[in-house]
Amino acid sequence: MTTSFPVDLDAPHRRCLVGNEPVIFHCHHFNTYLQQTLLDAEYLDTPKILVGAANEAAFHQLTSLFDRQAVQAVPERKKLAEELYRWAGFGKIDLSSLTAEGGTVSTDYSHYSQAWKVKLGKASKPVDFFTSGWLAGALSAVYDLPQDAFSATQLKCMAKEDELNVFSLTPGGPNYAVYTSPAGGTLSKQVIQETPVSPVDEDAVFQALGELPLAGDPDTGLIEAFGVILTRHYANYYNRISFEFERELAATFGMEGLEIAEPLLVESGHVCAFNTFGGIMKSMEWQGLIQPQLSTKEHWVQGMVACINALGWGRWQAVEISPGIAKFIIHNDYESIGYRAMYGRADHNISYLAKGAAMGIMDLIYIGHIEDGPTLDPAFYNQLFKAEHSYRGEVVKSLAMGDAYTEIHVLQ
Amino acid sequence: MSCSKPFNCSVSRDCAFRLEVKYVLCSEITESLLDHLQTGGVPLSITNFSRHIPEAKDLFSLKLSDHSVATGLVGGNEFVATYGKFGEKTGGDIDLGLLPVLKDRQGLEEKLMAFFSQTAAPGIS
Repeated sequence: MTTSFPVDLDAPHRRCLVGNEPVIFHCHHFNTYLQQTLLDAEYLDTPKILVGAANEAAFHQLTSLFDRQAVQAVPERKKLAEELYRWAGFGKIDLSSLTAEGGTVSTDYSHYSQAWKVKLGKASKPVDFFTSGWLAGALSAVYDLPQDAFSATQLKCMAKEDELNVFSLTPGGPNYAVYTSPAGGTLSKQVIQETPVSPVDEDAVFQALGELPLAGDPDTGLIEAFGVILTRHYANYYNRISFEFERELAATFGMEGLEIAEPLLVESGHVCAFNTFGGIMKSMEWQGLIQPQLSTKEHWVQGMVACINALGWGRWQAVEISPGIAKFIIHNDYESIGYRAMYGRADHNISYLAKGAAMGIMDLIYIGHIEDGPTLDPAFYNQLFKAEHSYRGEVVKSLAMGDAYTEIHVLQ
Repeated sequence: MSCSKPFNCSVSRDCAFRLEVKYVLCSEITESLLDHLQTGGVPLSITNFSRHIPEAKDLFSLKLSDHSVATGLVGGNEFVATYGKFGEKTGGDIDLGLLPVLKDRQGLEEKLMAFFSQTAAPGIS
């Protein structure tokens, strides 16, 4: 898979950066669910966060890439930005109609709008906040303007059953929150821990998965794999929207706000695990590459961890695995790296996605018997994750709070 | 010698409510079958998992159209095809038996029939 921009793989830390922005895989289920979680809090102005976070990441990434690649001419810059948007699986976008005075742009492929319609049905308002912000950031970068030079408004949306998504960019200042990207953040020293003997050749899995052609389709700009629609998304986008959501809840409701935020954000991780991990463990990719190495449920956990390590989320290790408890150590989990870079040391643990994901692994394998290929539908979700016997997670160490790594115990 | 029934298929919906068909073939998927299926300019990609893990099987993906894709393992005897545009359909009770046969599906299944009517399948008559 070749691109006209450099994709910087940091294999030892299981990270990937493009334009000095960490990029990670997440699927349409998680993207839609997390966005909906924010939008459901109607008492907060969360659209300004969603648009602002996309503006932040796109502006920083493209500014970095244009500089690094010495791309000066506007048409070449637009071409690179369009390619990057498609490569990442966000859909297709044609920037040719936009100028330094803004303009209108339309698209018939959008990850967010199409996913919303599939997951949640017809929307009453436009829902592609991500692309609104991305366009505002990209256009500012293309024309060497300040990050917040344009306001962005989505006029039409396929999730509303409009034929196209249509966006309007207008000079004169932002209609969203403006954040400064923390870039890749600072990594902690990684001391690999001893793990149980495993039949899974994790480095080989990492290499093999890296060869999958996981880029947006040339015709649709979407990435179909593992039974879901993937994106190579910005870690800083997820972190910004999650942590700003939490902070706004705390600012509005105090400690109670924090208590509201945690289960909502952990649940997003659960949704991610159920759909993405469930999809992975039912996929042809899994059957071809991973499953031949496995013979026990503990091996399935180890196989899943090997796959997670190809998602760009940091380096996961399963240091103890049994039906009663699993202990996961995560070196440089993207949530902790992002939190520290954005806000400094945390006073509470913030590895929400990781916690939900770790719980989900155990639920899928030990309760859901994913090896039997169950249908991943809402009824199965409730049976797995909302039952009395579902696994619960405890974050016992937190990189964001100053520990050397993040450690999550999952117990029944 | 040819397969009396080249394949069985089971039909369901994927998580985006698209038509998902699982094909179980009467013999294993070979490179010559894949060559046959990519006739007419159907893009085929193969990821060589076995280069990294000796016991692994290689993954193939056939892009049947902008909105339809088939994925399986070389040397396996089943694969899955997904038909339809992501985001076009929403949920609801749908009688799968009433679905029209899609052009992409028809094209793929005609190729399968043609291949197995011409090709000997060892052990199956």
